[in-house]
Amino acid sequence: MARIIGVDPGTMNFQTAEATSDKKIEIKTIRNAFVEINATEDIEDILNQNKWHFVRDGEHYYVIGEDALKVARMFPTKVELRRPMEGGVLNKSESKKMLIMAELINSSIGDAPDDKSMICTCVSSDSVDGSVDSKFHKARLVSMIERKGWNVKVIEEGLAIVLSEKPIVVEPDGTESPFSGIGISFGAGRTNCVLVYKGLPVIGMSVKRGGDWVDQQVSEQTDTDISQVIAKKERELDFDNLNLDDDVIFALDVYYGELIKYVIKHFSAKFMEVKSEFPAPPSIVVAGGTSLPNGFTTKLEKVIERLELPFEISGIKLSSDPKNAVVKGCLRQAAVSQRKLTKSSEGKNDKKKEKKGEEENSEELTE
Amino acid sequence: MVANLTSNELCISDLNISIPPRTARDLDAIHSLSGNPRDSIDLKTAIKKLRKAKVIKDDNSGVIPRKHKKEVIREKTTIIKEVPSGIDQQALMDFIRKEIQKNKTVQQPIAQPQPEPNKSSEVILRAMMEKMDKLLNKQSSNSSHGSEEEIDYDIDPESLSEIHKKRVDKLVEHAENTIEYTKESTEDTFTDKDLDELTKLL
Repeated sequence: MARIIGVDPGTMNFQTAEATSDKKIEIKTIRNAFVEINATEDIEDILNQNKWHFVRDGEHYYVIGEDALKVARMFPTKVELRRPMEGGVLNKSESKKMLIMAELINSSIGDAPDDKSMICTCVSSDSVDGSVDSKFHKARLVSMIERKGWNVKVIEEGLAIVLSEKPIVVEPDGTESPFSGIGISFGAGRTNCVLVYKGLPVIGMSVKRGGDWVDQQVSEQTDTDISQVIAKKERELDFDNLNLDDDVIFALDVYYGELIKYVIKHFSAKFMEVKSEFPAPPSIVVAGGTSLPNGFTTKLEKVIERLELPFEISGIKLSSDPKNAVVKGCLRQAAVSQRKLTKSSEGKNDKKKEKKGEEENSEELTE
Repeated sequence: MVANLTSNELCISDLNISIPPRTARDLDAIHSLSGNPRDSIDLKTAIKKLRKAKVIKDDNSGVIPRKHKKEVIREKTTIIKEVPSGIDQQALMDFIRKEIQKNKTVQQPIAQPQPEPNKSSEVILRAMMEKMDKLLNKQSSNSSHGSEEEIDYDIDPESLSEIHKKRVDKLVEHAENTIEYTKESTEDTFTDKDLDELTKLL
């Protein structure tokens, strides 16, 4: 039976989503990071005893996922935490990125069971702040999935959020246009923003600022180790109840504000450039790991209020599942693409049958 | 030779001389007037204090020796290296241009007796600027039309895809893994009606 899967190869996490027969979605997640371990005689025993997941390439061993973080914390001076992705694309400074990504794809999706199976993955929209574009990244990602026999569809990350959340625009005549709105994915490496109307992306852009940028700025400004900044962000940051006596929390609030301003200003400029006219105010739907702190939408609302936007918005909403919204959106698109693929191949078969039938009829007539 | 690279006049009392800013005096010429200038306490003090007035050994040809040329060039390159790493390419170009202009104005009075070092340092800076220009052009064309590798991709996407696949096949030839994922199961709120609706729209 044909399989349909959504894949989100993020800078922080690598995720897949697949619909199961009991009307549920199974989401697989792994931290997209690794460390290299020196090969010794008993290395595999050590790795297995600790139940650390790893990739072995000949004589080289790479501990992967959350275990990589554990190892990096244990031996801070001996091993370096490495990332296959950086800034939303394959990390150009990482020599093992292709090996690790290929193994992640191999272990998560495996080989396609048939020629109708479909995968939808996502990439960043075009960059508007001069950072690396995603075209080469997209080509490599597609080829890594295609080599396992899958049909591949690629969409923009912001579109995936809209497909997952199904925001609706109410037209002036009262009719509802589904899958219409602005999807913003606040990721670790990048932030993606796409204006979608009836499922079709109208304006899309991305900037090379995201959670990593915020962490970096806060770490530098408060002279705090980045791992402590991340820990504080994940455990204590609450925009509805800020402890401004804490320097790190204060700085996080400031740089979150800067990030939002940067994204919205760039999106506004893009909107003006395209001169798009929307029939009714769309709503904004946000998702992504950087949008997880409590009160994030309140913060977003406050920052947007102070900015003069060239368009109206009807509201701001946090995705019902901000961590998994992108990969779920990819799964929706995969389902549609698979349906179309099946219809198209059925259509071709019907035509073949029709042609064969016509040929047989003409043969009978000749006889 | 002693060169005053400061913007103030330099007075060496015990030699009874004054050196205007950004000019040089021949020590051997001074020697003939009032003792050995290399022994001058005031000159040594001035060199120590200012560190900009330098005694340069010369061969009386009026040309600053090669070793000093290198020093001049090194000074310029050091300045370029000191540009903050976070600066953008355009700002770096502007910075180099300014440095050349500054170099011209600063060195002009000294350039009259010793024109060669200015030329050589400027030649190097110009060469650097040309390289930077080329780099910038390359970068701007990359950012607007994609990377170099992408150009290949545009030429023959299918071949490139095949190359990618073969490369990955080779990369993972000896690879094995024990990767496991955190799994979670969520309700699928996407109904068949939603799927029909989306299929129609797309």
